[in-house]
Amino acid sequence: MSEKTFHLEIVTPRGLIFEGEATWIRLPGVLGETGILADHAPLLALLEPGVGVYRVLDRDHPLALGEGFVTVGENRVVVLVESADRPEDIDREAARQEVARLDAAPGGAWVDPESRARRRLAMARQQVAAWS
Amino acid sequence: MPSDRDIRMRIRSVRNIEKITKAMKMVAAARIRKVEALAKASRPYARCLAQAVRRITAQATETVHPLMQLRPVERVGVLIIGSDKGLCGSYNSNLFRHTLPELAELPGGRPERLVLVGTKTRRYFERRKFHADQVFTGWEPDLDLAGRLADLCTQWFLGGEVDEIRCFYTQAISTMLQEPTQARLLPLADEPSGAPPPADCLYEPGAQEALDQILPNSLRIRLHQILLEARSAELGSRLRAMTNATDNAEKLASELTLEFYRIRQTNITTEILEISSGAEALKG
Repeated sequence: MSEKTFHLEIVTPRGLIFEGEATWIRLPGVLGETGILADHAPLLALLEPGVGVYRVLDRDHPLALGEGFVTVGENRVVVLVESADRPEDIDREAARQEVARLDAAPGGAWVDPESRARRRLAMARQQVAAWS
Repeated sequence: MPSDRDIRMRIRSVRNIEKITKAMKMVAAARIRKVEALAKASRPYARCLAQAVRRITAQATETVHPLMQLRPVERVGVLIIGSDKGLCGSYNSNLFRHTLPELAELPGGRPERLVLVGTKTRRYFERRKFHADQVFTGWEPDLDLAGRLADLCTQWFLGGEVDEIRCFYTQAISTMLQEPTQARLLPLADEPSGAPPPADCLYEPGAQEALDQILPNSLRIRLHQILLEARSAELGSRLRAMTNATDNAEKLASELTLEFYRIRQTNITTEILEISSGAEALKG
């Protein structure tokens, strides 16, 4: 099946992570998971740290995304995030320890927004590293 | 006249200096490549961010975001970005010479808030009795420092302590050419939008929330690029200074070597003269 594609760019301050044609992307929006297909209506959505998945030629690619936002318009999707790690960039053990460390903090990881976001990112990194 | 031993010692010390400046030159050349690669990598992000800001501000015009609010400028906050280390030619002195008169022309004759980045910057301005609110030394042009500077600026601007924030730094026009310059950081400029605003756009959660997150971020990215630019200018300046120093050392060493040969020749001639005239006298 030849699906319609859109132009996808995933950009971090450290460089371009992906640029090309994709058929689908799922992103962790602040109002919940957002899936985007080709010809999506113009959108600007804020993202929270989490797992993002984009599909290119029927293959899913997971990324652990930091905070950021996505813009959609004219069949162009631009994902601007603090960080985007591929499974091979992630040290799974380090991510696990980060979660444990944040949980061990007094009051847990949920007391302030910053450590909450850090925990989300660490969890996402763990999930992406375990992706198969 | 110096003896040939003195000259030989001077040649040796000049050669040693040459080795040092050559090493510094090569270090600067390697680091400049690294910084330029970083700057290049961050450019797409900055470009997309600017596009997004333009897109929102083109549509959501009903309210001006506090960070974009133009106020009559009575108090100015200033950031000065110099280097930590010396031996980079006139990099710092050019910047400071450019900055000092500008500071005197500010409303009130001085900056209301002052942030100094770099050991050399601190030394220069503190000696001139400027009060620095924050000093950053031993800095690297990373996102962390950019974030801290952006937070400071935002806090002062939104708190009404300053009406404008300016940054003085050195621009790298090319590897060999650097120029002191200044930029207005806050209020964020309403850039003229080239592209026509797109059709009605959905915002999640809302345009205001989006601006609240994106504008401070764009300030941080702007600062990051300024830091990278300043560091790249510093390294470029150092590269040039060290290239000149190496060339000068080379020239000096070869001049001294010539001088050394001349003196040695004179000594030999004198000795031969002495010997032959002694022999003549004995024959007498």
